[in-house]
Amino acid sequence: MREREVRLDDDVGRLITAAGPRPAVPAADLAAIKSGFRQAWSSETVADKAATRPTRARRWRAPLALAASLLVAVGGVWWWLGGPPWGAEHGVVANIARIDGSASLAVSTDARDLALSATDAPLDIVAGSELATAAGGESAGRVALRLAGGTSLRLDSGSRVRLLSAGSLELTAGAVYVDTSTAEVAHGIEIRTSIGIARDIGTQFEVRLVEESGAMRVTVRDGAVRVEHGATSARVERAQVLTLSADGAMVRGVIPTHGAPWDWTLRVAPRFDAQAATVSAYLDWLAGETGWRVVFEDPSLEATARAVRIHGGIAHLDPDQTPDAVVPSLGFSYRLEDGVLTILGPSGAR
Amino acid sequence: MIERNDEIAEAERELVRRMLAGDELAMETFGDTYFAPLYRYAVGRLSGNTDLARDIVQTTVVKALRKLRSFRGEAPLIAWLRACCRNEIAMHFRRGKAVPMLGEGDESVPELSAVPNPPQVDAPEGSLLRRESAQLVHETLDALPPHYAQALELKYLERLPVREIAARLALGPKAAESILTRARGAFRLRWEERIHDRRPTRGVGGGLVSA
Repeated sequence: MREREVRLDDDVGRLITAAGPRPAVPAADLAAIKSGFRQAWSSETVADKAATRPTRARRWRAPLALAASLLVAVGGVWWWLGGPPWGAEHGVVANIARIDGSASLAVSTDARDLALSATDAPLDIVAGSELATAAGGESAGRVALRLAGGTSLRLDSGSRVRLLSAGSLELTAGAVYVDTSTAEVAHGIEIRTSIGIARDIGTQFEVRLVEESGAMRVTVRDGAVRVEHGATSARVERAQVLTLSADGAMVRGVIPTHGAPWDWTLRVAPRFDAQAATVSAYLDWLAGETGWRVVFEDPSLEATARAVRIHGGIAHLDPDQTPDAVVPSLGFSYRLEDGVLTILGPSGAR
Repeated sequence: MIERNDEIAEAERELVRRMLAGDELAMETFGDTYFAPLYRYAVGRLSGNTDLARDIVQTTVVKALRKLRSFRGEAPLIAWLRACCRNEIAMHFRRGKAVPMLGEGDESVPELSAVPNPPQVDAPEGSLLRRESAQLVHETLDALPPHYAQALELKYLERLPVREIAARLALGPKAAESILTRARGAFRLRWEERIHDRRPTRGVGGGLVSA
C-alpha cells in the first residue's frame, strides 16, 4: 500500500476511534417511528391496490351490504351465531359486545334507525353503519364493541360514530375509548373528527368532542397516539391530554391514568369471564381496565396466587367492583391507594 | 481507489421500488437501514431533544413515503431523507410551534404557558468541538452503506482482526479486506465532502446531486 494511502487509512481509523460508537437509538422511539411508518405504508400500498383493482370486483360489495341491511330491517336483529372469522362475512367490521341503556344503529344503506337495548348484544355491524348512544339521564346509553382484529371500542353516552372500516371511525359527537391491547392482530386504528384525526400507535386512549368549546380532546392512558390537523401533527403520550381547537391550536396537559376521567369506560366494560380463569388473567384484566397497578405485598405469594383458578360470580360487576368479590375468596385482602392495588396476605388489613 | 457505487444506487432504487409495490420485507429493510441514522441526524440538529427528533423523523418518513415515487437514485437515499428531515425541522421552527406542558391534576381546558426550551449546550469549548466532530464522524458513517459502516466499526472500535471481521460479516478473509478498503475510501470521500462543504457525488463519473 502506498505511503499516502497508509496515512489516510490511519486518519480514518483515528477519526472513528476518537468519535467512539454511534449513539444507540432508544428502542421505544425507533418502534414508534416504525409503527407510524408501517401504518402509512399500509395505507399507501392498499390504496394503490384498490385503485388498480378491476371494477367488477367492487360491484359485489353493494349487493351484499344491501342484503345485510335488509336482514337487519326485516329480521330486526342479526344474531351472531358465534365463530365466523372476523370481518370475513358480508363487510362486518365490528361486533357489539355490550349495550348499557339506550342506543341506536343506522345500517349503511338503510335510512331508518334501529333502537337497541341490552338484549340486542351481541350484534354484528357492517362497514358504513352509524352507532349512537342516548345522552345523559335515565336512558343514557353506552356501548362496548369489538372491532374486527380484536380492538376494543367503547362509546360514552351522547356519542355518535360511523364505522368506516375495522380500522377507521368517524366521531361526530361525544367520546370513544379505544384499547388496542386486546387486538389479536397489529391493526392501527384512526378516529376521524371534523377537527382532526387521532391515530393510535398501540394504546388505550379517549377521543372526545367537547361541545362547549368545539374542540377535540385526546387523552392517552397507555401507549401513544398521533393527532393530526392538516399538515400539523403531535404525539400524545401516556398520561397526557391534548386539546385541539378548530383553528389548529394545540394545548397539552397531564392527566392520571386511573380514576374519574376513565370511570365511564368501566360502566360499559365487557364482562370478564371468570369461569376457570386464573388469578393472573383476572389481575391483568383488572389492571388493564382500571389503570391500577396491581402488586402483592408479599412477592413470595404472587407466583402461587396467580396460578389459582377462580370461578364465576363476577359477570354482573363493573371492573372496579370485582376486587371485593374476588380477593376475599382467595383468602386475601387488599388496599387501594393512589391507583395502586396491593394484595395483602391473610393477616393483612385493608 | 474510489468505488463505483452504481450498484449501491441501483440497490436503493430496487429497495424503494419493492417497498412501494407492497413488499413488507423491503419496508422493514428500509426502516432498519434508514430510521436510526435519520434519528441521529435529527437529534444532532435539535440540540439533543430526542422527543422532538422522534416526532420530526416520524413526520419526515411518512411524508417521504409519498414522495419516494419520484426518487431516482441520483443522490444517496440517506442524503435525500436528510434533506426531507432538514425541511421538516425548518418548517417546525418556522411554525413557531409552542406546545406547553401544564401542571398535574388540571383536568379542565388548560391555559397556554411557556414553551420548555431545548437542552442548552454549556460545555468548555474543547468538549463542544469534540462533540461536534464526533457527530460529524457518526453522520459520515450513517451515510455509508450499512455493511461498510459495520466493517469500519469492527476494525477501529472493536479492534478485531480481519479474520474475525470476516466471520462477523459472513465473508471470506479476502472479501473482508476488500470491504474494508472500499469502506475506508467511501468514508474519506463522504468526510471530505462534508468538511469542505462540497456537493456529494456518486463517485468517479457520477453526476452532481444535492446534499
